[in-house]
Amino acid sequence: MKASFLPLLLCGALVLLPGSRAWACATCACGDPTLMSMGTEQPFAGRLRLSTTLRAWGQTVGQERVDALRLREARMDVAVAYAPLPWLFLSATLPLQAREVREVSLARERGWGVGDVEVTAKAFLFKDREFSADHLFSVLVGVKLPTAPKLRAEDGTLLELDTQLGSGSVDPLAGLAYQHFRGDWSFLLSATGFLPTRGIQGYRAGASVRATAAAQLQPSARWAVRLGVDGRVESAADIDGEEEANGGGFIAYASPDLLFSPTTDVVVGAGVRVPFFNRLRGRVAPTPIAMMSVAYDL
Amino acid sequence: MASVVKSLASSTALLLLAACGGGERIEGMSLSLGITTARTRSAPVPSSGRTLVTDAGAEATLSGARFTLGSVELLPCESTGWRWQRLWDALSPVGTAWAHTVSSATRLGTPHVITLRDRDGEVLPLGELRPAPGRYCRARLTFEPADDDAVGLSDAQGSDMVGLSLHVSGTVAGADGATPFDVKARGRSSVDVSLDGLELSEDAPRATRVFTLAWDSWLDGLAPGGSPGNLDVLGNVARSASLQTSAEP
Repeated sequence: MKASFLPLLLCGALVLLPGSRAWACATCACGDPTLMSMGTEQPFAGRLRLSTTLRAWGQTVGQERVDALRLREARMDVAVAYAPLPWLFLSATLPLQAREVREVSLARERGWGVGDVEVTAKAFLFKDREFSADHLFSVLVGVKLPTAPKLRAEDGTLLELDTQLGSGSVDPLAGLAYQHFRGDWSFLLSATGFLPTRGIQGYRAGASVRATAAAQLQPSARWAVRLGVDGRVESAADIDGEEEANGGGFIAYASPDLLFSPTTDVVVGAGVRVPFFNRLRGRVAPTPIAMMSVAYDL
Repeated sequence: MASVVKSLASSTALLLLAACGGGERIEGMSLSLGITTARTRSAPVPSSGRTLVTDAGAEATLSGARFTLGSVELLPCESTGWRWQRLWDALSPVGTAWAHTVSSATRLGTPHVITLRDRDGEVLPLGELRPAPGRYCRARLTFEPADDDAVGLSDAQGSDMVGLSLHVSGTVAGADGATPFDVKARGRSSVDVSLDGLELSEDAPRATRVFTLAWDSWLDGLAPGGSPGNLDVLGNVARSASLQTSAEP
């Protein structure tokens, strides 16, 4: 497996390398110098943005030493976003994932490959002014597509559901977002709902709503700090109608980030999502999520 | 432009590599469990196959015996680390809730209906547990009523064991000849059997343990002229369990 990961990591490093020079100024084009992470950027016609987000996370479901399943995942989301119109952003995200699920017996399953692609369209329905807007209101619609292959072990048998990288289902999503810009400060409120359908092995994830409230302070043109709260409320997943004992409920994360722009049109972000309020059903213990991203305006 | 080409080429290469997704499975700890029957006292003379003498001196012959082993649960040896772990769990600020499960890595929850055969020593496989590495001192055997999908129901030799934890029949010898008896139980009884310090580790990830039930003590407490209907036969079955280390299930 290590040998399989090496080329992935090398190519990932290549993707992460910024270009030798920038040949456009995105913040000039939209009239706002705020450093924005992928997904929160202001639109202008023809804006094209690439990004890579590395994320490491995990969770343990069940009782330690009795029936716990420990999941660890490293993933790299490669995303492209394009604004064909001043009010419309189209984006696609392809996750590359490596996942390990370990039982208490130390029996392990590992899977790696392409995950489920997500495509979205974000329409900005309201801007208080065309250039350098202070208030932005947008709606988001999209779908997660079953692009992840069914992973198998060396003997040809299917890996367990928890080790599969995709759900095998077509999952529509829709959301709302409001952004406000005031001097060095900016604010974001957003909520996105997911309505998963049934996928592989009879599994259907629970319907969920994910919400974010964040404030960002940018004392200089090169860097900014961001502090947010992310919350997720979801119904329980089921397999062929039989509800899963663990999962479903509410969880909230504290989300500090640091954004840095080493050169024009490149934004590097690093942050962590720390679970601080866990009311998920059953026994689910998530780890903090470490994140690092690079976004590049072409 | 060169940077764009580089980014696109790198991304394409990455996608192609990742498209060759794969998986692997690595086995962990496993404990195979089985159960058998044995005579542990000297046979009465003259003896037939299933004739026994109780601890109170009564002589009886079993013509049929079936019981339901509802679950087998591994119990870890207590350690200081466990106590600290429990304290840590209790103080953890991240809330968790408990879920109830029937089977787990340390518990075989599939009921087995076990029939006393004509010969002892035949090992019935109960299943395989996949517990965490560590030392396990005892196994808790619980005998309880069978549900309608218990393993071995069809082998119960004419007895419908659904809802029953035990069905024993036979005769008790007396001055006036042999008196037949037929005892059914719907109760529950548990016993902890020592595992002789079973240890599972990455160096020794697999083990096998077989439990032995001493059928010649199942009517203990029965005095000459008494009736097995007044006995705790299910408790006797549970208490007759011990560990046999040499057999393979």
